[in-house]
Amino acid sequence: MELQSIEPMVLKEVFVYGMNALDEPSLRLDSVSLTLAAAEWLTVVGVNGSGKSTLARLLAGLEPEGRHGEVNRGFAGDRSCPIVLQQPKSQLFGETPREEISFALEWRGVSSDQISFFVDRALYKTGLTEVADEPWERLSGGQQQLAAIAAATASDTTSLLVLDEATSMLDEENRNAVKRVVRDLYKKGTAVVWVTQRLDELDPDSRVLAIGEGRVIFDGEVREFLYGVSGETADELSSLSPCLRAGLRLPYLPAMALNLRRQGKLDDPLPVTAQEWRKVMGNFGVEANERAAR
Amino acid sequence: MKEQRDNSAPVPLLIDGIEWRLRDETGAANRDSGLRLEPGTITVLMGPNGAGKTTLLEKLAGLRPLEGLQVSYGSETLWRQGWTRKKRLNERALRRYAYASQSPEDGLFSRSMREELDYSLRPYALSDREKEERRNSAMVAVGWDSSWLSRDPYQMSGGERRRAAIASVFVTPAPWLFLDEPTAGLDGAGHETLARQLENSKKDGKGILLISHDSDWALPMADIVLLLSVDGSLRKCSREELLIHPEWLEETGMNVPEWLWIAHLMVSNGLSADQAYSPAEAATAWPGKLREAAEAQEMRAVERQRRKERPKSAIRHRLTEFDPRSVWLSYVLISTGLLTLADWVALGVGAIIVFLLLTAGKVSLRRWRGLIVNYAVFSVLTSAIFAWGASGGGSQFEGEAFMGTLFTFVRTMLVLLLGLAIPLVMSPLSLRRSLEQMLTFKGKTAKWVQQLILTVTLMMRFIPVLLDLWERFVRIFLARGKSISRNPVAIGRRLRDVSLPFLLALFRLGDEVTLALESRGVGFSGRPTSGTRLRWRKRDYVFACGASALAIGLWFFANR
Repeated sequence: MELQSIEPMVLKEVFVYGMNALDEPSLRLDSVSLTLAAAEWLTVVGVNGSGKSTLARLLAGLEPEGRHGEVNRGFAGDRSCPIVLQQPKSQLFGETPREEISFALEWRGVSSDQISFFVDRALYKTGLTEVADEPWERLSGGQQQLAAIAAATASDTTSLLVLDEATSMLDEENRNAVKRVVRDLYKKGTAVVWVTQRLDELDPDSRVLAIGEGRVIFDGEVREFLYGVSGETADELSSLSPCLRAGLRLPYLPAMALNLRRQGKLDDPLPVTAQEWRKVMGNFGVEANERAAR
Repeated sequence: MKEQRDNSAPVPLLIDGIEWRLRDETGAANRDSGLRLEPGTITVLMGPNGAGKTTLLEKLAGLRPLEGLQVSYGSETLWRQGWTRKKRLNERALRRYAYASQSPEDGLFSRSMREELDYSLRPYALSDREKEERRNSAMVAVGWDSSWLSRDPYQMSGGERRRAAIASVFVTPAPWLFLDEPTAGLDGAGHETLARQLENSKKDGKGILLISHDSDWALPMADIVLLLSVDGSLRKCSREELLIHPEWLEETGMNVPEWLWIAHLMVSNGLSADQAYSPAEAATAWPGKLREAAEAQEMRAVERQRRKERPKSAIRHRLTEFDPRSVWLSYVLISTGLLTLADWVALGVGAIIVFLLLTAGKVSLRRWRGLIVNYAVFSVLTSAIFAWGASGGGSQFEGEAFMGTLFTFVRTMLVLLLGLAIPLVMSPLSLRRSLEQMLTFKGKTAKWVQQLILTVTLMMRFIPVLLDLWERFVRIFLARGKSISRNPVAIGRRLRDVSLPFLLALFRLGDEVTLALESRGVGFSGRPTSGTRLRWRKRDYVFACGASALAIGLWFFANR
C-alpha cells in the first residue's frame, strides 16, 4: 500500500482543449487554478456546458486529452479516484449491489478471502445490506447511486471521491440518503468534490467553486457566493451575487433574503440553512410582537 | 383546412381510469373517471422518484401502452380499435400535443435549425406562409432572431441545443404542450425565457403539462397541481391550496422543500398566496406575526414517521439459483439435441419442447420480440430468394429448396430462442465467473482470455441498456413525427431519423462507461481476483442430467 500523502492537490493555469460533436476544437477549461486540500469538501457549480464535468474528471485523475498546464495530484495519488456519474446505468456492471461491489473489489486486486468481508462492510456503510441481492429494477435511483458509491469506495480508505451530478436525477429523499453516506466518508477523512447545478444542495460551511464558460468565476464560501460581500454597493443586486454572475438562477430563499436586505429588513449574515431561516423567521416574529406591544 | 383548424383548436385533455381525488377529499372519495385538464391552464405534475411521472406523461402522449387508462383530446381518443380489433394510435390525437422529453436536445438530428423546425411541422398540413409564421414565433419564443434558423444544432453549446429543442416544441400548432424537466441544466436566463413563453402559450389558449424538479420555478405559474403518489393515485389542487397544505406533498412520499415551508409560514401569517409565491413581493409584504415555526417542525417529524414504506416483493428468477455452468452445459446439450433433428415432424416436437421449457422456466421473450420477428422475416425472405436461385434463374419457384432452407433456419431459431433466454435469467457477472472457471487451467487464466471474458460480459450487460436507449429515441421521434404508418418507406425514414441521435448518445454512453471502468480500476492491476467460487450442488447435477436425457431423447427421436 502506498503512503498517504497530505500534500494538497494543485492545479495551475490548466487549459483543456476538446472537440465538439463536429470534431471542431473548443476550449473546455480556460486557465483554471485551484488548490484542493486533503479531507476538504468542494462543491462545484455551473450551468450545462460550463466545463464542470471536465474539471470533475480532471480532479478524479481521469486525464482528459488536450490538457496544458500543471497538475500536482498531491494527496489524491496518481491512480484515478472513484467517480460517480449522473446516470446509474452507465456505471453499474453487475446486476445487484453485492455483485457490483465484488466486481469492483476483484479489479482492485483485493484477495479472494477478504472480498466477502469488504463487500459486507461496504453494504453496511451505505445502508444497502437489506437490498444487497435485489436486481436494479427493484431499487430506487438513489439506491442505485449508493451502490455505485459503495462499489467505488469499497476497497480501502478513499482519499478523494468525485460525484458528477450524482443526484441530479433524484428526488429530495434519495438525494439526502446519498448525501448522508458521502458526508460520512467525508467525516472519516475523504476529500469530496461534489458537482451540482442545484443550489439548494449547498452546505453553508463548505467551499463552492463556480464555473462558467470554462473559467473559475468564484471560489469561496457559500454565503458569499449567494449574497456577495455586503457593503456600500449593496444596492447593485446582480453585480453582487456571484451566483447570478455565473449565470445560475437564484433560488427562492436567497432571492428573498437579498430583497429583504435591500429593504433593510434583514441584516448580514443572511440565512442559508433551514435552521438559520427558522431562527430568522422566529426572531422576526418575536421582534414584531415586541414592537407591537410597545 | 378544417382538419388544420381542428389540430390547433383548444381542447380539454380527458383522462379516465386513474384514481384521483380533489383537494382534501379522503381516500374513500377516490374517483376513477372524469379527470379533466382545461385548455389555457398550466398544470404542474409532482411526485417522488419512482411514482411514475414520466411514465404517466408518456402514456398521455401515446408513447406507452395505456394499461387501463383512457385518454382523449376533446373528442379524439388516443387509441382506437381498428377493424382488426387491435388497438392502434390515433394520429389525429397525436397531433394535439407537442412533447419535450427529458434532455430533448439529444433528439436533434438536422443540420440546420430550419430543418429541425420543419420536421416538427411536417405532421401538420400548413401553408408555406403559416409555416413561416410559426417558425418565426418559435424563434422569438426562445429569444432568438431569424438568423438562428440557418445555424447547425450540432455546433451549438449545451444550453443553446436545449433552446433549439424547446423551439421545435413551440413551433407546432398543437393545443397541448408536455414538458418533462425542461429546466434541468438550463441557466438563469433560460429559466426566465421559458417561464415567459409558457405564460404566453397559456394566454393563446394552449394547455401545458409540466414536470419539474425546480419547484420554486414551476409552482408560481401553476393553475393546477397534480400530486402523484407512489401508489399511482393523483390529487388535484391549486397552487394556493398546496401552499396551505404542504403536507400533501409528504403524503405522496416527497419531502417538502424548505422554501415552500417558509412560504407556507408566511401565508399562515396573513400574506396572500400570490405574494408568498414571489420572493420579491413576499419580502416587501414581510412583517407579520410568525407563530408557527416550532409547530410546523413538529408536524413534519410526525408526518415522516407516518410515511409508509414502499412495498417490495423480491422474487428472482428461479434459474438464477443454479450454478451458471450447469445452465450453460444444459443449453449446449439441448441445442446439440435440437440440431440433430432432421425432419419437420421431429422439428415440431423440438419446438414443443422449447416452448415447454420456456414456459416451465417462466421466461418471457417479449424483450426480444423485435429481434425474433426480424429473424423470422429474414429466414423466409432468404429461403425464398434461395428457392428462386435454385431453379437456375428461371421463373420457377422450387418449393423443395424453399422448405429445405427454411428448415435449417427454423432449427437454428429454436436454438436461438433458448439462447436468448440465458441473459434474461443469468446475470453477466455470474456468466463471467462461469466462463472464467471453465477456462482456468491450474489456477491460471491467460490474459487474453480475461479480456475476452470481460468484453463478452460487458456486452451482455449493456444490451438491455442499448435497447432502452433505442426505445427512448423511437419514442422521441414518435412524439415529433406523429406517424404510425407501417409502410416500408415510412419505416425506413424513421430509422434514418433515429439513427444519428442514437449513435451520438451511444458514443456518450461509451465514454461514460469507459470512465466508470477506469475509475473502478479495471485495467490497472493485471488481473482481478475472484470473490466467490462457484460450487456444483445436487440440483445442478439433476439439472444437467435432465438436459442430457432430453438431448439423448431428441437424438433418438431424430434417428427413429
